[in-house]
Amino acid sequence: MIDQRVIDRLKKKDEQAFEYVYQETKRGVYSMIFSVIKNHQVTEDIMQDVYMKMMTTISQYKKQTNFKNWIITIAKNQAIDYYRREKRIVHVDQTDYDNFLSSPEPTPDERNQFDLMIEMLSEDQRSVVILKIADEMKFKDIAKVLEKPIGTVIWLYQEAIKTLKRYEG
Amino acid sequence: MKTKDIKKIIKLNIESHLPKDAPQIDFLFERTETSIPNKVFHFNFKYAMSAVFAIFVVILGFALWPNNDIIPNPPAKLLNSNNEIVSFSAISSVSLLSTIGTNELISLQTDLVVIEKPDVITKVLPYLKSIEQLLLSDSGLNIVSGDSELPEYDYFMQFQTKNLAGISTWYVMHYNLDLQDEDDEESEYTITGILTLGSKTYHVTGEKKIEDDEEKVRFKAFYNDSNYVESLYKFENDKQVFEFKVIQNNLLASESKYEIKFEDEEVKVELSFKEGNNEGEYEFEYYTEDDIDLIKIEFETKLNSVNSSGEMIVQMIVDEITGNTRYLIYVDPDDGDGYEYETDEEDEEDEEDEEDEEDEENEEDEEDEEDEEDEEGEEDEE
Repeated sequence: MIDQRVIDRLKKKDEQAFEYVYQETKRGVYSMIFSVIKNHQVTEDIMQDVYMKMMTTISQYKKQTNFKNWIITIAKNQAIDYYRREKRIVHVDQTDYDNFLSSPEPTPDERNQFDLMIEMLSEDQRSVVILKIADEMKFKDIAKVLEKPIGTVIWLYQEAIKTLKRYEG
Repeated sequence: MKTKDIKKIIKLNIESHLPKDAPQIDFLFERTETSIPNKVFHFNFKYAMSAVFAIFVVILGFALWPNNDIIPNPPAKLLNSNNEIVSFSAISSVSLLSTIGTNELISLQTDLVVIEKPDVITKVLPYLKSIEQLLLSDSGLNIVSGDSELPEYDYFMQFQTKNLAGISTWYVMHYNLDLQDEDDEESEYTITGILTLGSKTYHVTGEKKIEDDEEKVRFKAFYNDSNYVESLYKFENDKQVFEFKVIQNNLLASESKYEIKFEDEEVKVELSFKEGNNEGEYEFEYYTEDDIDLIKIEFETKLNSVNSSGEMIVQMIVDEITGNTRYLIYVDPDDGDGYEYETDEEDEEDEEDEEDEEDEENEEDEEDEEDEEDEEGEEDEE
């Protein structure tokens, strides 16, 4: 839980606080960027920009609001900016996966399944599903970050799961 | 593919690509972005004079208006006719009958059986269906009446309700009507009959009385003589009020009250209930977001000596293959983390057939059920 004391320390550029905030928010930030960009390598690059942006704009963070939602919103905007700059969807290259070695490693079959599965979803569905499943975000928070009504978010999730259930991998 | 496999693949893939270490950031950098100050409002004489003039015109308009006596409009009612009041009494009573939990009544229970749900949901589910129908009846219930085809009864009344998914349910009531008795000046009419919903039939009685210049409609729906639901309709403090008592084995099992607020074509229903030491208040409101029909519920409860409050959002999910429906309920407590809950599917068309075919369905849908259990388990953990 990121409370005001952590944020105050972050404002003073406390490295321990930064590390703590990173570990607490990285899943959400990564999920948000990846759902827009669909490329793991680029997602990691944008992640750096997001945390840099977080540090430079920390004075704009409003007290009593959800910090995690705030940084995921930054991630969303950074990803959209990147997407617009590139003006094209970057497709996943299989070699990207080899650059990342961490545990537990998905099997090659699971990688292919994942790529095919996310291609079946619209961008909105992808954002909701990945934030919900990978980061276990609440629908209410996803709705705030994506600036969509909660009913729409729940519906997008249901529709996405329904679509993915049809996948015969 | 099963839901749990979908979740596993997505989670594993994202997790495996997450950078472990935080990015290297130069903490000595000086550049910071500060928020843009809000625009300052500058006094503008032209706008100020326009505002003063507009206020003057409004005041003058009121002063010169010919009808100085303001006659308040009669309070708007959602249910306007006796037929509508009796119909809604019947719908709610039958809905609550299914909450009676005696062993002999288990076969009667359908969609409202709730097991291991969070308390705040368990308590509201028995009322949700009837209040949903009420909220969606802002232009009144669709009622057809006429002579009964059954020899035991003189009249019939058929009324239609709709749920959040727009699916209709028809209730049919066959009844005999006794008009005011000369010896009983207070009673306007009594009815006795049967109410049919799908393949189920309930005995019902009703009575309209004028007590202390107040109109009251009583209604009872029976499973048997010792298990029934009694409702009382009255109009008090400009609100239409329904009070319910669930009688189980001749003992009062629960009491509840609906207060209907109907203003500017918008319906709000306040539910209060008391069940032993448990009590609670829920306020229901229907709204749409992006063409999705939802119900918002604000709640304050005291259940098992624990106070809680917050908000729920209810959406109806329809299985596109079977047409069965279930509620997806998002609960946002004031003092804790939010969570979601899905009810079991219900087949509104023919509940009895569903029970008969339960074994077959269990075999066929074993995988799907496992999925749902997994999901429920995960939501509970959450």
